[in-house]
Amino acid sequence: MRSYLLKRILIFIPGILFLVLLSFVLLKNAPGDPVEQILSGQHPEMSSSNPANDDATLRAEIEHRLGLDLPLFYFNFSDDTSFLPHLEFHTKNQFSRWLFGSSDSNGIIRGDFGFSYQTNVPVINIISSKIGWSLFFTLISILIAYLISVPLGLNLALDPGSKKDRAYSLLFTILFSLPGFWVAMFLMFIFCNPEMMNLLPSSGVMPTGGFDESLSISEKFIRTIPYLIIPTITYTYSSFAFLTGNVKNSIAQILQSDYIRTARAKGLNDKGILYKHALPNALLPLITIFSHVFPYAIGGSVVFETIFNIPGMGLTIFQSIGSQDYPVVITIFLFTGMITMVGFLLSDILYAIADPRISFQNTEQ
Amino acid sequence: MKKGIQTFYKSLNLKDVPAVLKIYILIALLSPVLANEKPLIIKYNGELFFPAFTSNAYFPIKDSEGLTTNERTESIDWKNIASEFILYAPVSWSAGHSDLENGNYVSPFAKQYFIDTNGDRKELPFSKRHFLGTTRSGEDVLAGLIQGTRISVWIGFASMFIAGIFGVLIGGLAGFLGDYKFKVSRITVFYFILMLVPAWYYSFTIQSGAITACFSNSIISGLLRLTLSVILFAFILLWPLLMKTKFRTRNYFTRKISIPIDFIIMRIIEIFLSLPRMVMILTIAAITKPSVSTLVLIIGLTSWTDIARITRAELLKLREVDFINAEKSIGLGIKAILFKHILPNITPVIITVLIFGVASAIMTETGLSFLGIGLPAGTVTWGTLMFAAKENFMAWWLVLFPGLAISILLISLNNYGKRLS
Repeated sequence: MRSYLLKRILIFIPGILFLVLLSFVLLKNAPGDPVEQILSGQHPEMSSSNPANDDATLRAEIEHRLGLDLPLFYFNFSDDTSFLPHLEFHTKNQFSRWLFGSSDSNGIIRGDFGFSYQTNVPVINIISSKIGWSLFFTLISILIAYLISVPLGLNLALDPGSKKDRAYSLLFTILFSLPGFWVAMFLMFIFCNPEMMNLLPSSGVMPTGGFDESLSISEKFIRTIPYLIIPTITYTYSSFAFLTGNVKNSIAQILQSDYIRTARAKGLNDKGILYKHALPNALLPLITIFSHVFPYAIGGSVVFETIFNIPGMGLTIFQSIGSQDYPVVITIFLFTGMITMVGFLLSDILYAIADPRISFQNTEQ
Repeated sequence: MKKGIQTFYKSLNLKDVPAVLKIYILIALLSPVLANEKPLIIKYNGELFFPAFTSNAYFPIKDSEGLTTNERTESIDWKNIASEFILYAPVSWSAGHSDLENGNYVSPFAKQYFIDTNGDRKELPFSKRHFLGTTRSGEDVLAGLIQGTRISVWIGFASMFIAGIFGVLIGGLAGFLGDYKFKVSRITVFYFILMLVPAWYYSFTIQSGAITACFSNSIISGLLRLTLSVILFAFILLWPLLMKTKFRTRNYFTRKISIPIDFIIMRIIEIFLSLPRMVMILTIAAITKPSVSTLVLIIGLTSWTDIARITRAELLKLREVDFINAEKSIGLGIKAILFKHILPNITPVIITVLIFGVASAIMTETGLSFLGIGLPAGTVTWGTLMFAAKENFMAWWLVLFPGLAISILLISLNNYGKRLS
């Protein structure tokens, strides 16, 4: 067990390293010149800090503040083209400044993700104000999807090959194939359309202009609910068909195994077999399925948040791509990557704790 | 060997492809002929022209006084040309071209107009109608759907082709060599580590200028040039493997150690799996220059992991099967075993995964184009049509038809994949 955990955590480290490197490469390859974007006057307080300075000095100053005058990485080939490679090493470089920080910046390891080009607000503040809604919808939809699909999958696994099972599996193929954003548009077309049924608000998570100050928290919560209904349905929808299929397969597989036959042979009734022997074993793989559903939900949130105007990370990444605000884009990428990786790690560890066979198999290999 | 390839083809089992999928592929292939505002055949002043099959061509137009002027085929109002014979494509509109007379969301059932040569506003004849309505700027939805089919099908299949090649190669390497089969002498390993930096220098750093020049020329030539560099890189690093050197003395450097290829590849796959794929594709697509081929590459290079895992698992399963051992024992060569037994056995499984992969690639593509990321501005796809519906919920045809087009394709793909598995 301990060796398995150790191994699992050791794999986690190169994963994070790869993610960080990829983010850095993407950030450095983003089109547009950051100095130009800052200078283009989106936030005058920054460019007018030294009105006496001319353009070139200002440019140099901004470059220095962003650390762009440093070499890119720990080493590079020297510029003079010769037949023999000549490596140059740098202790002070943009990557280490970005990752670990330097005298004037904290680095992402201490939560300093730079400033947004557009608003000049620290990126970490943007993220922390947006991450709540994304995680709320992702987690609550996965929870609801589990609550629906476990009983449903159980029901379907009881008699595989029957008419009901085949009809349902066709239905799930169809449901699985419908793109989530189309379902979202369709629901909005029906329920938020003044011409059809004008029941629910079509965008946002709260009334435009916010709540009255006088309202209590419970009152605010009740007023928010209509805004949450359609987003929650679409979020749940996209993971529900996948989950049900998995639950069904996993239970159907277990019901054919030897120990179920033994249990039946010793005279246990069907209910006892199902709830005592089959279900606990069948539900274990669902822990790992969580780590497969979660990245999908996070990825899908970009489209859903854009459709419903939910002020979460997905909408922010979409808007930042539109306005070429790459520090925000890369930070959201890094954040979602971290979240999914930690989710993977936790689900693997939980699975190993719940099912000791896993850690045994993995250390044997 | 020849017989082996025949069995391999047979195992592909292409006869079972569902009709719906074939129709989609046919539409994708024939899309310029199916929806085009330029006529397929036109007989004008006794001469035959085929404007739909040309691009940037000129067409001699005679005005009332008998003067001929050459006009670009793209800018001619074909519907008002007095020709002796004219044959249009089934949908006589091009995707992305606005029809000003029928702008501002014309429903499929509403009256649609055109302006004839005398300047009168008349109702469109049935054969030239916008069968599935128009968008705000008057673009034909059906023509957009047909072009969208081309883009989606191309992206789906091409990206899975790339993913398939990568996945099978990497997974095959892992499954075939395993952890203990690949043995090299220590000195080769040291050579590999020592030469990493110089090999990178000679194959990429020096040639970076040439590679970027090729990429700015066209993406295909850039890729070919990059492949050349990769081959050079691999050759510099791996040439000791090609030479079967026999060392006379046995010491620390010449002793062979086994490289755990399987372990290394599986860990790389695990790292890839734990990245959020959609957000990664979105970010990379936002940073690179938008084009269809870039999108194909991005989707292809981020979705090979499933194929690699399945290939490896199948190879591991086959390694234990008796008939392979029997063949080894009767002295059959590795090539014969590979083509006659291993490939035919793993292709059906890989094709199943690929079919599901095509479905998910198409889903990714429509999601991206819905957000307007990854494809050049002005490209009409299923996703952009559906995004147009977000501005105006009255235009139900913009929600319904692209959604149906995607859903039917994905249902048939997923159902086909499920039947194969």
